[in-house]
Amino acid sequence: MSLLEVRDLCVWVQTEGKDRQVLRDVVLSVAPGEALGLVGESGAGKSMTARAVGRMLPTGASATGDILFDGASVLAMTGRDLRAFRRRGTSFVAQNPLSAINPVHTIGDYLTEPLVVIAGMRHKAASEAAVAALAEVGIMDGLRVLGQYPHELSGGMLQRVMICSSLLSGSRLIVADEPTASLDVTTQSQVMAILDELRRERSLSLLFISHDLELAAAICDRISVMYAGEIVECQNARGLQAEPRHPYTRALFAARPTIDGASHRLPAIPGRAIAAHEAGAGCSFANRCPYVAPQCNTEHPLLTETDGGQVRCLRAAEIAALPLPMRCPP
Amino acid sequence: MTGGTILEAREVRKVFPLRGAARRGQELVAVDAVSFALPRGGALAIVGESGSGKTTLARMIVGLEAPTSGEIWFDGSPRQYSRRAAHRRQQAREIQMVFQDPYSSLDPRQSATQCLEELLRLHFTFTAEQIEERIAELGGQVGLGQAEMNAKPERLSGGQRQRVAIARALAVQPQVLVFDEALSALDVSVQAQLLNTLSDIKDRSDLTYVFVSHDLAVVRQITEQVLVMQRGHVVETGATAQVLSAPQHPYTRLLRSSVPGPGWRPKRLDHEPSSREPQDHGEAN
Repeated sequence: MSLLEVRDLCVWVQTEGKDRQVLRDVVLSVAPGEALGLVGESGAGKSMTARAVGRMLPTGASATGDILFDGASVLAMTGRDLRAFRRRGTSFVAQNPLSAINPVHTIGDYLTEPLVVIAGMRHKAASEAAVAALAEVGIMDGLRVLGQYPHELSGGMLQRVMICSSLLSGSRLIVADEPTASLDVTTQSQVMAILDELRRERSLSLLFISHDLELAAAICDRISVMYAGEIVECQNARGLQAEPRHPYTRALFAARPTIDGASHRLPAIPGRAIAAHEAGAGCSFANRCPYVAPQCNTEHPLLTETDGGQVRCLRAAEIAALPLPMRCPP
Repeated sequence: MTGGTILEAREVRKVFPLRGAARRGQELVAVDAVSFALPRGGALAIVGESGSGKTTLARMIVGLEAPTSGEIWFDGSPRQYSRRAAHRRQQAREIQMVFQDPYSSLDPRQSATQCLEELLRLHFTFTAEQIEERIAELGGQVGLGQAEMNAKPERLSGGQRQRVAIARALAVQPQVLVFDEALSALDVSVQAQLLNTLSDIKDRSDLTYVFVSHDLAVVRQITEQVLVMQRGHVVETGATAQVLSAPQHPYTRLLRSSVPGPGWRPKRLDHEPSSREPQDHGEAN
């Protein structure tokens, strides 16, 4: 059974007095010990999905569909169950640790408070547990770091502290929302290695949100691609890199410049990404799709099972046989 | 390329005094002994991580900071760092900069049209018709339509704002454009569109680009030469294709191997300093 299962999740948020849909029938599942990547561009609905999973939707938002954590409905939770779920069910690693950790408390306070208040540990034992957990994320002088404030640590160090706090909480699902977007590449590589290693050692589940397809593919088992508030493709990571099935995924891979060679022009995707509430009756990618057919503008494609994955495209079978979009020669 | 050196750095050094009681009298060498020569129509990348001095070097090239020692040469003469308005305007017409964050670099009360009009009036003696023509031309160059040109920045997406910023930089007809991480905050599909726009602009002029970036793939796509900086020093330099396909310096190799791609695995190095100082402020003396 999946640890996390999201079924037909639709979310509306209030902007300028209007209810606007931001998620459309989002479907995803994360098995125990599995890492799922959720990939897409700004506004596709990745972070909103993460917030829904943690029951942290903005004020005035409404949701339909279901989110099951270990079989229990997250959207239906109240009082004690909800608190227990937030305490031990999931833990979040945020994009900007400096704004996610209280700046007026020390790292020691941040890491030991839950152990003392929730688990009822004594301060000394909690500090020892924190130092041991810091060593696991590669911070060897843990005792000194416990006395430091967030602003005294570098971004990479703070992100390790956040991972450390996830480990201490004992939660089985880590939701990491662009955890390395503000870090340098060499620091990113280290933080991702730590997250990946500890997750595997402890068989934790990971929902990894990123705009970087290559990074997600390197550390996730499967990847779901989002566009305009819906899942357009889901596949195992290797398959997605080798044979992306949805036209959007294919175009995204082709549009990225690569370090291995320049081309005179990149095969850019024309136009701009639409928001979920702007989507019409047909396929949301139809206006930018190189493979568009007349029925794409009128018929909304369903997320259909294909071998080992899912794809939301009316022409998926035909397109699979075509070569990937190519770069123009330099 | 039309040949001749347009931009040159000669042993440029920038030292900042450190503030705060504990560090009074101490100095930070942000950029040390950097030299390069860039031909007209060329494209140079300055790559490195936070604290490498790449942004400080870019700011000196544009004239937002004066070097502590050394000189920046433009078209055969050294750049002066005078406070006189006329002189600063003159130098602004030579080298322009596009900043990283299009959300803070544009005036929220001005549409692109208003912004460009103000600039053109300040720098040139154009008639109203000439200004109108020039604004239309600039909009076309960066791929913005009439509606977008007349919209306030809050109504524009990140990619459109960055197009406005590029139009603003192009308005004064500079010979060198400096991009300080100008494409870093953009989505992949928007980044690809802008990279194509920049190649098109360059194809039609002999504009020279300086690209400050940490993104090696973007650098590979748009530049011919590269400077790799670490803690204020240039550790490797050469043709971009050469340096990125066969990096010689250990730091360039580390950068290269940290970029995710097919078959890539993150590496745990555990040599990162735990304190904030050395990372964010470069080398403290």
